[in-house]
Amino acid sequence: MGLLSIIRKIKRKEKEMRILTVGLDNSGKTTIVLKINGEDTSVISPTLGFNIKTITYNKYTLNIWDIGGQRTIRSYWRNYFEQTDGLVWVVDSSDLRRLDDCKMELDNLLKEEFLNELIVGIFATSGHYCSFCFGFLQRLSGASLLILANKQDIQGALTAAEIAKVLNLEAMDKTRHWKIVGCSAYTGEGLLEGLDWLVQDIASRIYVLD
Amino acid sequence: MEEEDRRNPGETANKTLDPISNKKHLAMIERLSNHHQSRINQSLSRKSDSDTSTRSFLNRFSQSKQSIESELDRCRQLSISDPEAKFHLDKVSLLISDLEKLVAENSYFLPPYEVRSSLKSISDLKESLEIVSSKVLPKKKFAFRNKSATKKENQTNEVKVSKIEKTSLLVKDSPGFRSKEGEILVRDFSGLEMGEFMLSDLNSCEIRLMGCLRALFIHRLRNCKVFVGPVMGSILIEEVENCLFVLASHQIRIHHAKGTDFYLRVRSRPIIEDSNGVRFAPYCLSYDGVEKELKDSSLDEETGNWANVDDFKWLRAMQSPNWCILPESERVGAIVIPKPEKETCSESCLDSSFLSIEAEASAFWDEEKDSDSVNLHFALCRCSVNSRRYLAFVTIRIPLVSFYEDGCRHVKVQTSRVERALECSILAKSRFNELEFEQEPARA
Repeated sequence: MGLLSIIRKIKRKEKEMRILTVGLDNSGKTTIVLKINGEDTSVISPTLGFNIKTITYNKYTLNIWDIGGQRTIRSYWRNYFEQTDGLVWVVDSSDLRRLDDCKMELDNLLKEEFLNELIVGIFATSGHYCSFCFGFLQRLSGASLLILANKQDIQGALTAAEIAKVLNLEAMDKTRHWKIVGCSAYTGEGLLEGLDWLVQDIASRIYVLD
Repeated sequence: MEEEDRRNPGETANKTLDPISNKKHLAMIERLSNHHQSRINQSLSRKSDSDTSTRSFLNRFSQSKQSIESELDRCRQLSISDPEAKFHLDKVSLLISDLEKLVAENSYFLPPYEVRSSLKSISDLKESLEIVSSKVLPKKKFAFRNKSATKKENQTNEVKVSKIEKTSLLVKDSPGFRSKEGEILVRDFSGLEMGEFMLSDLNSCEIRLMGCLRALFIHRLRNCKVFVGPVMGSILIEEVENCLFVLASHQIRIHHAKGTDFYLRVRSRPIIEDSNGVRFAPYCLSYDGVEKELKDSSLDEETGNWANVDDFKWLRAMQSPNWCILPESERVGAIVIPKPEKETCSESCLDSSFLSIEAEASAFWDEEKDSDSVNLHFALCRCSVNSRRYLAFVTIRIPLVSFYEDGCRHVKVQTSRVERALECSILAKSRFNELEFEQEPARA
């Protein structure tokens, strides 16, 4: 456990968190990130590739990775998983037709993350650096999941509770920390509530709250 | 000369280095000998140390081995399906794994022979545990299988449940035009607060949407012409073929489009993916009030972005072969949609945008000849207009097209017989063109 505690100490000093924002295209990921950062959201083109925003939030530095959601680049999502502290899954609550798609991609993502974890796990038991790998294993399996049911300002959008039902979130692995929050990137409503929870949850896992 | 040159530097170097290097050399030798001495001392002490610790390890190992063996013997004497058997066996396996840990922790100083022999005895112990447990708990494997099977059943049940839930949720559809062929579909949202709208599975239709929308979804259209007012939000287009679109929006995404022309006004860069043969031109739609609606949606400014298309399937610097700018000679001219008459009801409602009629009010409707409107006549009923309550006869005039489509959201009247009295139940407090009708058996 020696190395793990060193890593923890370094992280504590930096107070840095890595947050991944993913979801189908047109769900409003970039708008959410820009809105949180207090930037102009009136002209946003669909994201090709990814954007990174570094935001100081309370006493933490958040590295928010906003990954494009177009079908062509979805297969690259997993390249960003490593050492992610928090996962933000954005849902377009007004896009009823693609909710099935949305559920499938989320399931894939979590499975993928689980696989990642498994590989590290196997590595951990086969190598001599057990405690070192164990540290990463804990972090990966623990990535807190925040689901943002976006576009609540649009008339006819499903509520967060309805989205939770469609995505069958209750059936998720019991060890995962997750929360669903209804929000609107357009008005900004609900964004801070979600981010607050995410940061607190990560902090309580990694930094062992002061 | 050359030889001298070659020799000289070496000599001078030797000369200059001699006193210093000598010193360094001596110091180094001294350090090395010190080091060597200390190493010898250390190894001596370690040897004695490891000797004692090897002995103590062997003691501990044999002790716990004995206790495990006695525990195993006790397990052997247990009767089959003794409720405590499992507890005892678990205990033994825990003890064995502890023993394994002990060996692993001490393996760095143990002589290889000891490591091997202790590992061997551990595997022996494991084997005998296996034998004992198969004797005492003969049904163990079967029970395990059984367990996993029930789990699977549960899972399939869950899937079924979620599927049922899904379908029940999908009943809640967004407003829109669906599954039509060869029709003209018109909706006017002017003055209404509209959310999203959906166009799906249309073939050879002309669609006119006027007024502001927040979001528009377009899915599976063929041979259609689509004219849309400002969308303050995004438009998502999937699987369209041989169509013409006139759209204004903040964001536009186009997937799987073939042979389609887009006349766009867009604040950001439109994108295409998996598309080919798509062409782009500037927005060209006009109807009464479109300028104001564009302005209200911050779409009054021509950004020129209609020509800045990103192809997500073409990441090279050169122009994508999948799209091009529509040559001016091939563009359609300005498209003008005549504004349909505003819906009216009785005189008292003329200026209102809000009408509610008591549930269970009965009504009949008729079509005027040579007119594209329908009159809905309500019998004397309680209604409220702009939150003032009336007892009144109410007549609502609705464009024919939207009446048969879903201008009155969820109108379920399919037949077009004239002068037919219907029992209508109306959701209280709905807007003019969002009245909910449910057809009940027609009166004789």
